[in-house]
Amino acid sequence: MIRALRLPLGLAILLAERVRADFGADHPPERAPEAPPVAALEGAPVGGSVAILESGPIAALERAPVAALDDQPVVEPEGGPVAALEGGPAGPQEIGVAAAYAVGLADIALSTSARIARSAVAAAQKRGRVGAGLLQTVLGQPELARVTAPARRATAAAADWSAATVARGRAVAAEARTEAVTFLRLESANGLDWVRGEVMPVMIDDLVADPKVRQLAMEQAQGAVNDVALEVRRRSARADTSLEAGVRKLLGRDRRELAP
Amino acid sequence: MSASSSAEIGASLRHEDYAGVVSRLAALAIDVVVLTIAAAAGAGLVLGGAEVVVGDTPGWLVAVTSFVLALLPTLYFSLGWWIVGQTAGGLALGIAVRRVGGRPLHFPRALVRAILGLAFPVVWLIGLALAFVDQRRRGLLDVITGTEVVYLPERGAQQ
Repeated sequence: MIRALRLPLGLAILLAERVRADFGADHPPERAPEAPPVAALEGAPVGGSVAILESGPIAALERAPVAALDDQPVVEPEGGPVAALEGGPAGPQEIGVAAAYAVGLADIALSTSARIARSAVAAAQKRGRVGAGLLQTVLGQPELARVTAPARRATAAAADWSAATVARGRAVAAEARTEAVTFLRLESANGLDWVRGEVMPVMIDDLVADPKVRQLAMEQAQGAVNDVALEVRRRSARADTSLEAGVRKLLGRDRRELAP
Repeated sequence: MSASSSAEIGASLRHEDYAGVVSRLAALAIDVVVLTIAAAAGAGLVLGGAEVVVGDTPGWLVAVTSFVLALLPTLYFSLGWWIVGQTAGGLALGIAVRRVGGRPLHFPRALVRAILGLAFPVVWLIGLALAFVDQRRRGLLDVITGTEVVYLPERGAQQ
C-alpha cells in the first residue's frame, strides 16, 4: 500500500516544488532534507518546549549519528512501528501514510512556529534576563523539581513524539520523491525513445509529402532569391552612379554637360 | 511588358533610370557564364550521346553541332532582346533593352545589335565608355542601333 502511494506522493511533492519555484513562495523553497533512514529516527533526543523550538529537534535528528540514535529507546508514535513503513501489515501502513501527510503539515506549522518563537525569544531575551535568573533559582529547589517532574516528563514525551513523527514524514517524503524522480526519468527516456522511433519518422514523412509545406518551402526559397537579386540590383545601380561620378570627375565634366 | 507601359517608362525616365556600365557588364558576365554552360552541356549531350548510341561521332554531327554552337550566342541575345527585352543577365540585374523612346525592339534590330556586338566585342566593350558622358547612358552600340538600356522598376515599387 505504501509503495503504491509513494509514487503519487512523490509526484505531488515534485509538483509542489515546481509550483513553489515557479510562482515564488513567501519563503525560499527548502530542499528536501537528506533524511536519515527511518529506523534511525526512533528515539530522538528530547528537549524542552523552548529548546525544541530554538535548536530544532528535527535538525538535531538529522544531524545525529545513526549509530547513536539506534541505541536510544524507541518512542513510537501512535501510528505504529516504523518498520511498518517499509512493508509491514496493511493497517499500520495506511496509518503511516496518513501520518506522513500529517507530518508534512506539522512540519510546516512547526517551522513557522519555530521562527515566530525564535523572534519572540530574541525580543524577550534582553528584558527577561533578570527574571529568568530569579526563576531558575526558584525552580532549582529540590521540592519544586520533584513536584514538576511529571509535567516535564509529559512535555518531553510529547516533543519526542512530534519530532519522531516529523522525521519519519520527511524520510517517507524523501523516499517518495526519489522514487518519483526515478519514475519520471525512466518514463521520459522511454517516451523520448518512442517519439524518436515511432513518431518522428511519420511526422517527417507527412511534412515532406504535404503540398502546403512544399509550397511554403518553395515560396521561402523564391523569396530569398528575390531578395538577393534585389540587393544585387541596388548595389549595381549604386556602383553605376559612383563610377560615373568618378569618371566625370576625372574628365572634369559636370553632369549638366552630358551629351543629350 | 506591353508597349504602353514601355512608353510610360520611356517618357518619364531620368538619367539615373538608365543602366550604367557596371550593371551592363555584370549582366554580360552572367550571360557569358550561361552561354558557356549551355554550350558545353549541349555539345556534351549531343556528341557524347552519339558516341554512346552509335559508338562513333559522325563528322556531319560535329559540323552541325559546331554551327549551332556558333549561332547560339547570336540567337540567345537577339531572341532575348526581341521577346522580353532581357537576357538572363539582364533579368538578374533588372535591366532591359528598349528602343529609344521606350518601345520594345523588333527582331531585325535585335538581331543587328547581337551580330554587331558579337562580331566586334572589343568595340562593344570600349564603346560602353560612351555611357559615362551620355545623358541616357548609351554605349556606342546603342547609338548605332538606336537602343537604350534601362533599369526596370522593382516589383515592390510597382505594387
